[in-house]
Amino acid sequence: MNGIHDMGGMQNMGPIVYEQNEPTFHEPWEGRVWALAALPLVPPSRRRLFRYEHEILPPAQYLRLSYYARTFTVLINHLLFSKIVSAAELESGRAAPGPKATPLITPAMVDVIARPRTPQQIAGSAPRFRVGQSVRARNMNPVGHTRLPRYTRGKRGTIVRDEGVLNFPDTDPERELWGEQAAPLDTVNVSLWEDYLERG
Amino acid sequence: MAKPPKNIPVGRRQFLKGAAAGTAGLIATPETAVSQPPRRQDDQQQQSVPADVALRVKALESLLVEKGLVDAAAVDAIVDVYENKVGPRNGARVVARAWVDPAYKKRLLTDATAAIAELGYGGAQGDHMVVVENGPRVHNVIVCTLCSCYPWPTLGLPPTWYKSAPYRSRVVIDPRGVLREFGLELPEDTEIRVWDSTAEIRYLVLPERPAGTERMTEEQLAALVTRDAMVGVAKVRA
Repeated sequence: MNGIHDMGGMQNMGPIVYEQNEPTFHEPWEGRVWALAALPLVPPSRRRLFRYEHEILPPAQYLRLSYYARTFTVLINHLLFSKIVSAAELESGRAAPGPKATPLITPAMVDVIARPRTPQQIAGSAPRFRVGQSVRARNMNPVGHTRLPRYTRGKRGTIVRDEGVLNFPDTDPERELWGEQAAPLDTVNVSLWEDYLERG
Repeated sequence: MAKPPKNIPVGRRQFLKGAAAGTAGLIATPETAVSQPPRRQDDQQQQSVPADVALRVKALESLLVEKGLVDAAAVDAIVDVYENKVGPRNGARVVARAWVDPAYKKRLLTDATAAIAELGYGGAQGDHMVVVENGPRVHNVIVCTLCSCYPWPTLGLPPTWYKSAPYRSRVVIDPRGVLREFGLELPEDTEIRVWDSTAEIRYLVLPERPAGTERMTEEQLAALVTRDAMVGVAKVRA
């Protein structure tokens, strides 16, 4: 989405404000929000929308809220959309009876977050580009999540490093086709002759 | 265009106090739309926090605990990790080791994730590390223009300025000006390389070892290395 989050190259955002000896969290609630957002409360298929849910905040709100206030706002939406909590529960502050969405998260389960781990191996095809090759970033404007910043689109560059195979982050191929009305996790698979395609 | 202002250290209170004034000012002065008024220090500090946010966060946590989804001790454990276990001291150890051990430095520049894991650091936001080396003619600086990506295991959580609109927007279009704002004036012939953390790679800058530190121990060297130097907005001073 061409949202306010994609701010590389924007000007007039003001001076950089530097705080000496800044603490990790300024207030205890910031740490609690951070930790709650880090917990594996939602299944991975929903979890991957967390960034997108930041991006679809109204721009004025995105800019106005402090970082952790923004995280909190998005977390609430995230838990609601993922049906981990209901609006009624948030309103009353009391848990409604019924089955639990996920098993209890214990300290042992989060103990491992800051330890080296074996990288996930993702199967991929042979690279289409090699180091030193000239490429052009696609000029595209998907309404869903993308990690192609606007300031690079349509611009030429050179491959300086092959970073291997990583999961493609653009969440919404369906929304690329049909816009906001499409369900975010759906896909359409189309058979296309090679001559219809350019290097993406 | 006004001269790049100096960095202004602000306390949290001042930060919050500035918030209301900044917002009101922005809405109330129509002339801001036509001309470029001189910037006030708090212009970009329009950010705010809902007054009852601490209570609301507490209520959410209680609800999740009551629903049997979260053990509050798990929340404590995560806060503890980010307040006490990860942080720039980890990155400083990596840098100091690279300065004193050429074989380690070679491994670090070839496969940073594995070399950093040798010192016991890794995990979330550190699974795909790349270390970029500064030199007499090359200066690296890292950013995440799209959100706030940062190498947590080696640097901890990012400071507010790194996550802020002024830094994220401007460091890609005017890196030299941004570095000047941090008090770092680089020679004209220095090549600045900006690394935008758009994918899953997380970057760490390997700063230049300052002159006059030849006799220092690895531990003494690590004490010199700052977070800012490893982000690339400062140099290491002896």
